[in-house]
Amino acid sequence: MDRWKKLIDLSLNKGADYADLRYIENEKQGIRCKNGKIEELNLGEDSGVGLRVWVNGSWGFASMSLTGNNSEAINALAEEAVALARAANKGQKTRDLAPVKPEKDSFFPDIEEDPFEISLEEKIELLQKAHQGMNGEKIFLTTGNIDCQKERKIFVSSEGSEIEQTFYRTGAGISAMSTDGKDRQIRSYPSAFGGNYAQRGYEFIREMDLEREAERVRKEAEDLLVADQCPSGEMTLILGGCQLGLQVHESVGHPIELDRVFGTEAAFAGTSFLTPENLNNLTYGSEIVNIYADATIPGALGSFAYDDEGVPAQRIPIVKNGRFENYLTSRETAPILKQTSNGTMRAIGWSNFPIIRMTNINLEPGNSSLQELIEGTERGILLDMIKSWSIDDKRINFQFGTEIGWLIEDGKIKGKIKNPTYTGSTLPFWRSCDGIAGPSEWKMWGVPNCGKGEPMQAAPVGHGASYARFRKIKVGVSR
Amino acid sequence: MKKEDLKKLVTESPAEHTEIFMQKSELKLSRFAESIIHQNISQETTNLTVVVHEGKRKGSASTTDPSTGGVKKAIEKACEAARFQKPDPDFPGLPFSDEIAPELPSFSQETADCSPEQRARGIAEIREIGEKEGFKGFGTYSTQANRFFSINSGGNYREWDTSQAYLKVLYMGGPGEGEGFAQDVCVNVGDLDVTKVAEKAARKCSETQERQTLKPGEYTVILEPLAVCELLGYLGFIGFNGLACNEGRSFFAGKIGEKVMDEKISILDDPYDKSGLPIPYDGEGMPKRPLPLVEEGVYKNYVYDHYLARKEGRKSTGHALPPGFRSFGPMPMNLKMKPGNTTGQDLLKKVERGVLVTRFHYVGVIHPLKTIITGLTRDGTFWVENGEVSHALKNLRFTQGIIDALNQVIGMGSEPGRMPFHIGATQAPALVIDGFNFTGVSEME
Repeated sequence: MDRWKKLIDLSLNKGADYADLRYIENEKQGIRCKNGKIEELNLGEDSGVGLRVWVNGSWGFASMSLTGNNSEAINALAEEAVALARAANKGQKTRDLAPVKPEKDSFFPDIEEDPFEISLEEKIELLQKAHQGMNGEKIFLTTGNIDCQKERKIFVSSEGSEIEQTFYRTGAGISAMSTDGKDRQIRSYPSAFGGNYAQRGYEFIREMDLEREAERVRKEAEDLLVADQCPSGEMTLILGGCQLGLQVHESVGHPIELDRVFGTEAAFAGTSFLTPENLNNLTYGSEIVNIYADATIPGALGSFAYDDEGVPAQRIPIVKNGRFENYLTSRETAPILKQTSNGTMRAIGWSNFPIIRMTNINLEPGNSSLQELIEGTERGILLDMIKSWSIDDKRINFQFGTEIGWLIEDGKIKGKIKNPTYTGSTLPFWRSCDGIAGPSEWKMWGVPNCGKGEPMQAAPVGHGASYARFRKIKVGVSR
Repeated sequence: MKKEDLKKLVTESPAEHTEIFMQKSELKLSRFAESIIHQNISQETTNLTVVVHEGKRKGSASTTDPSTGGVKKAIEKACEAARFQKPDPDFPGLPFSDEIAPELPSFSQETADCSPEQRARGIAEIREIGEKEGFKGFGTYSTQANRFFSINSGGNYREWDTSQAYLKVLYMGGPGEGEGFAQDVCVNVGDLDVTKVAEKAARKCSETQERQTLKPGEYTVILEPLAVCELLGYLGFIGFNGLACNEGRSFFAGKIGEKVMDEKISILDDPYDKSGLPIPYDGEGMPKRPLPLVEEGVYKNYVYDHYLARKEGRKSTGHALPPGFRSFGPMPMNLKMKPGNTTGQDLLKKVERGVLVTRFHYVGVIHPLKTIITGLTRDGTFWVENGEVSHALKNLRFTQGIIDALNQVIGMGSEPGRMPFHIGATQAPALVIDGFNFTGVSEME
């Protein structure tokens, strides 16, 4: 800790008004299995430091990996960061950062089984058994993966914060691709594009029971080959939790990032329709829609004890009874709205500059159930599992595709449909929500790769959701 | 760490086969919003990956520590990982080539030395150009210098440098809340014309005030070079990708020699083109060379890395990705669509009624085999009538097969544009395409 405090002091001596740094050590293990063969088994580690300084209302940031005792090079970061901040400041006004109480604290997660203590042999065997379960006459490609990460992060600031946090991130997933020579379909479990992730130990992967689920994955991938195409038109849509998590992510999570609202992502990911005059003044969804940003959920992928500005984790209402109530903010952006930071600044690894990131953005459970939602649907479709996604630069118009769907007629499931898509615009969509399943069907989904920033930072975030129903949605859009 | 030191470590590795790939990068980047720099960073990273084969058992390990101790530890970890593997009967041994890639202008010291003050001066100019019109500037001005090492125990030793200077400018503002975008990328920061990029973005912003709504449907489109580059990049990822072809996941699988696109279309992977971002060697240290992929509409060649090539009884075409990314499959990094001979104004004249698209945004793949993608237009979408731009449009969603679109080409521009694609660059001219499918409008319904 002393080494890093000295670097902070050096930054102040070089002219910084404020400075903070993150020293990070990472250990990673990644296993990729393809058609039963371990295609990639990578053991990785890295460490480095990222120093951020604030000079006359501008940021400078310099980072480098640690390659032994190169203290001279590390100390040079202070000069470089201050020079970058000074170069950035060309006539802008000095601004204040929102206050934060300095903390001296450490956090270590409560996990049952250290994923790095589980042998590689056991993990490989699990993926190979899952492959065997998915393998079938019409299956031409199976994949499986297990990923484990341990991150130790030290945060030090010139205001006196000294915080050490340790994170374990664990995830796994399987998928099967089927073909009948003409068509190709895919099914994944527990989520697509690498599976589900959490800040838990290896018990999280055991609970997935990949071996048992593999057989269902195979069957559904094969069934989809002969399933009817998704109907086209306007109808009732029920979304499963995995897809609903993505819907929350894209049409709520990103628009509420206050840095994005102020244009800092404009030339890359875009801006947001959610301009400040909408705060506490906009009906985002129907009255049953309640969405929270909650960084305090134990084990959820987007949780932490403190963000990368040393602000404690919080649970914040974003949409309450349908009304828009809060953005995700930082120490720099919150004062513009005369607020304090609600603690959502994170950088990925030691090399990146912290930016506002989603924590766990959750659609709170309602008081219905999947069964009731289906029974209340005269004609509609139930869709789940992310397959494709796209949304415009202001987060208004979206179009999503899912792996699988089921046709609903007269309150009953009538059969599987393939290549489902749906499209809409954000506010009418959330305002059309007329049913949300309850706590027993609510689950956390961990997304390890939310992309934002330049250079791109892939952040671990979470989304809690059950099932929800939406009326008059345009479905079956493709060519 | 010098090449000789890495050679020694590879030679002394206890594994039967050892490969080391290292990328050292210095990224200097200024992001700006409302014409003010809000993020000014210097990022120095080293990523080193060791791949070993014990017999035919493969293991890999990565580290950011390139010291002798750090590399030795990574080799040990890779050997540990290999012990748990089953043998891969298809492992072909490590690649080797005594062919030396030609001297390519892939690196510029001027780019590596670019100072934060130089970037700040460029951004100040962008601010001034915007202020004349009442626009605010948003974007990124970055420079990156990379040194690559690819060394294996089969005797393949390569070391090469690349650099990249990249500028993106988006103006927003004016009475009708316009948006205009332009960008450029090149090896030498001295070739980056800040004024030209900014003035082009400002012109677009002026032209996009008071945007009107267009009903979704099929329209003739003029896709400007950036939009075509985007389509080409996706075609590289889901179509030309050698592994996707091998596994039957690509439209191009089994189609060599078949006419797949309009005969006006010729596409090659050209790592030598100095107007792109040249790359001498691939991620296995094999020399790259130009490879025709589509000639006058006919599909010509698959791309290979060493593993896939040997599996199919072929030779590597120099398209391997670095270890850690190889599961994506071998991919072209310097796709280039040959331009036609029609100037921009003459292209417009080909369109009686249609849509002019500056660029696309947030593209998602709906059906890889049919190359169907969806996405939106942004930062300059216009209605064209009787060969002239009539008015600006609100952004549109499209859902369209790339191959279908490239079969409906009725005009091709003479001036290519370029955009970065991983460590290379994609180059393409503007295209006029019939029957392009717009499926939505970006507005709160």
